[in-house]
Amino acid sequence: MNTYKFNELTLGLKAEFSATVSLKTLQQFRDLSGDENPLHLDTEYARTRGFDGQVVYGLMIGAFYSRLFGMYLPGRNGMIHSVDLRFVKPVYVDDKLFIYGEVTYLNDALKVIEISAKVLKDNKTEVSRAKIRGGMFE
Amino acid sequence: MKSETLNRMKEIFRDVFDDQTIELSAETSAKDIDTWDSFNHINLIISMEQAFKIKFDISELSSLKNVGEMAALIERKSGA
Repeated sequence: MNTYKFNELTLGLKAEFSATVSLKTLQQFRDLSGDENPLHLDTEYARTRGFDGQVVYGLMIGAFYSRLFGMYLPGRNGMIHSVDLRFVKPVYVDDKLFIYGEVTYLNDALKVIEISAKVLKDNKTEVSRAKIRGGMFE
Repeated sequence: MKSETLNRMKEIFRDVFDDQTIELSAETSAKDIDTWDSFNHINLIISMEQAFKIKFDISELSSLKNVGEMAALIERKSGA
């Protein structure tokens, strides 16, 4: 876990990591959220809707933005205030995802930072992007 | 305080507080808007900075008492 303090952050500072969503974690998210929409759980149904298989819940991708902010940029000293996120392409179970973040706004007076983030599938196709705003304790 | 500044501030207030009925006067303060808490205050200040292309100092922010003082500060910093 990174431990950046506010005065150590600079515009353009970047972080990245990779992740996948397994069938097991998809089912755990179903249990957590109570969202049983068959688009996420039934491969055949998802195909009838034009997808290649069961579609990963968008907010599971959102969970990676939580990891990006809480573990990497800035890490321990930050707390998310808001996330403006978009899902632009479907994600499927076991897709190889790459999560990127960059510091794009720093407010000295309020100790607030903004991270522009995106998720690429196979490191080439953008599947989601987000603006994450948060405060810093130190 | 110019009416143009106040009108732009009103649009920002309505957006941040998600309330299209908000009207502003020089005397409007946090006690007049129920959802003006510390969290929305941060959003408000950032939105003002981005809209007017200015940067507040922490000493300036801590002394603001109402919308009129905020408008005066914005006009001073933006040269409006």
